[in-house]
Amino acid sequence: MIEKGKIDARQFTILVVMYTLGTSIIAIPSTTASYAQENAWITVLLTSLIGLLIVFLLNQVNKINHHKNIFELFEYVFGKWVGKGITVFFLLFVFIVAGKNLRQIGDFMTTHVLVETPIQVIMLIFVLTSLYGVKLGLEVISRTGEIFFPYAFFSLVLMIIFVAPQAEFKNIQPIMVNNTEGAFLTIFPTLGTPYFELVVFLAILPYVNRIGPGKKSFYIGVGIGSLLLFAVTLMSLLVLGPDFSARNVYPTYILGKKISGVQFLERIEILVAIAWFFTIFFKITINFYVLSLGMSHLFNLKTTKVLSTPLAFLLIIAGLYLAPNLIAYQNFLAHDLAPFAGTFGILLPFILILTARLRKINKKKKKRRKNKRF
Amino acid sequence: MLKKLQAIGLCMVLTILSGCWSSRELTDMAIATALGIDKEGDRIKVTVQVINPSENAGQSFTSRTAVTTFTTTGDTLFESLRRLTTLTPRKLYLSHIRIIIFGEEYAKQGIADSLDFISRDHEMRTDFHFAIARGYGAQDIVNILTPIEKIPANKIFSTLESSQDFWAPTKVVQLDELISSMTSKGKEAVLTELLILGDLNKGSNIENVQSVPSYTSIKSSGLGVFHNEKLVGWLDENESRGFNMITDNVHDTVGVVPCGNKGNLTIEAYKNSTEMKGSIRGDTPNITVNFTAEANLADISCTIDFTKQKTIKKYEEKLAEEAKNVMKDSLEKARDLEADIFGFGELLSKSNPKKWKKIEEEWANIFVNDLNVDFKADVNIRRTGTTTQPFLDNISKKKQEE
Repeated sequence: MIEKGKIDARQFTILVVMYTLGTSIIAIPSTTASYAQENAWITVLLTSLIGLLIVFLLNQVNKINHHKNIFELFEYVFGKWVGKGITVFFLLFVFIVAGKNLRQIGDFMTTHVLVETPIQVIMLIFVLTSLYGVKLGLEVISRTGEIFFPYAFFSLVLMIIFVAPQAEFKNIQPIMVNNTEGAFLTIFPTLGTPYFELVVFLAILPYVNRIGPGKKSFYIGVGIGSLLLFAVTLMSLLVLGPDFSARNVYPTYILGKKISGVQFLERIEILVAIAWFFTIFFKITINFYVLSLGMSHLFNLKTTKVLSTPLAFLLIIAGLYLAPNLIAYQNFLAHDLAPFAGTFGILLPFILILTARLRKINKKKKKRRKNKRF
Repeated sequence: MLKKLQAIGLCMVLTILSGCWSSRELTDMAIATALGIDKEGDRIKVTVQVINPSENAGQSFTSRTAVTTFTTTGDTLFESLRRLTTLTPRKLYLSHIRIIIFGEEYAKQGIADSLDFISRDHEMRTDFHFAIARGYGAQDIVNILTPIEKIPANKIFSTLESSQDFWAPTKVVQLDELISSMTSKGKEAVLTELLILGDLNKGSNIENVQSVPSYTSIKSSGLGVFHNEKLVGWLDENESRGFNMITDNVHDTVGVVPCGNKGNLTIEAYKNSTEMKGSIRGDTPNITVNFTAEANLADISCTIDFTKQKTIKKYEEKLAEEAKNVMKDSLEKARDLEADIFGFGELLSKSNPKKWKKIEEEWANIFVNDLNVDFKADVNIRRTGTTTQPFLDNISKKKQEE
């Protein structure tokens, strides 16, 4: 085993919540509202239910062998060479997801906060921080998560409370009359981020110190994350209206700008940005960590540290070359990411379980035959 | 060796972390407080009101004005704003804008083209208000100095808010609401008007704030009505109050009815709410507007006996009738202008989405001719202020005895 650290179930929950929120929290009202309009909150609700089913599927994969991470499982189930081949493709997937996240934070910062700063600098700062985390290992990442989780969580909750007085119920009426097709069609692209990407946690789940609570905490984490995504989408619709939510690239940030009422509580939209910095930092770090872990498995290295530094710089390049401009990037998120992520997030786990079942049954039969002989 | 390298590395990091990448100090910024947008031929004329920092913060003030304005033209709003750098000593900073004013001529030709920049630019927030300069260009209003509030934009901002809250002829409109009522099929936008009282030329001079009654002042008392992105007409003060009553935007207002033989009775309505309900029966759309108010007696200048419940009831009914009339007038005016500013169409699209689809295309026509609107009003007088019986009664009795 390359990773020797152990994390506990609560730390795992926090990592899952952070991962679910990162990237999605700031963009989800826009992507869902552009097709589902006033029914976007229903889309998010349905998506999170499906998300819990995905967690069930992933837990089933883990059941094949509790002690093996996904890369070991590939080799365990498919055999050494096929397993390594699949690892290559899986790593490519994680690589693109991590690059995508990095690009997203860069785009956000250059649009709203640090407009004149080159995107490369922002990406570099983020990736170097993540690199530090990756070098220190899983235990440190998890403990950092415990420290930063309250900030991210409470600043989001506070934002929701502060904008609540401005909510207008008529913005989401009539419920499920118009745009019903849109509400269902949007489910698939919304699943793309973050639910299909949750598959990377199969590389971390084995390191949770007790396996039963670990699985439960997977559900809890996705549950809490989805609940926040739902609350933010609903608030964005209620306060900004479906039309304005859809037209803005980062409606959650605009929602933060709406906070005003008590005089001194104005201009605190950076609350939203802080919540997002923390969550996306952990998303990048987890992806990055899984990426370097996988690389070490692929090349039979003893530690994850060797390849992480060059990978960090490759991630920046990946983020930059992912799309020439914001429109292309948004199209990538809306149309191409979901089928791409789905291949690894749904199809691959299915194949894993199926193959494992078939081969295990054979092994058991063999055993029985052996028993009979003796 | 490694430790030394680490130390050198850390020191290098320190040089980068010492400040923001593109930091701009307060002294490098020209803080804009108001934007005035006019049309000049095919081009857009922008007037910006910029704070003069040394006159607003500091111990000793000179006789210079608290704000300065700059005007320039360009093909688009953004181009003109950037061209302003040829006039201003510093680059404009737009995050503190309090009000954006459109000139009447510009508003008549449509304001949509400047709204795109306003919603797209990252420095623009969403917490400023919009208004139209009635009968003047926006430039004229932005140029006027105001007493009490040193920064005229702040004066306009708070006038709009306080008149909405205590008298109700104006409406505070923010960016998201403005855009969504322009794009919605069953709703039209309104924006508050700004008027100039007095001598226009003296308004921009510092003497305007040095004399006790200002030569020139800015007033807001009515609403401009839009059809899509174009200004089509105006509601006067009473019609605007009617509009606010219908759309449940009245916080606190005043109602006046004649009473007794001569004189008036004035109430302060402090708890107002309106409920709008829409339904489509058969093919005719129906709207019921139910206005309720709780009021206190505020000002009585007639001789009536207010100790009797009957009198109270009678005037409650009179006041309700008056409220209905105000709302009706407002509706009539909106029908004349063919603009559904109340959002009746939007209401119907929420309550009867299927039937709405059938009438959606002809909505403009239906709103003017076929729409059936019922007004109900209910006014309850709760308290009588700090006194009960008006003393005017005693004066007139005294007169008779003499």
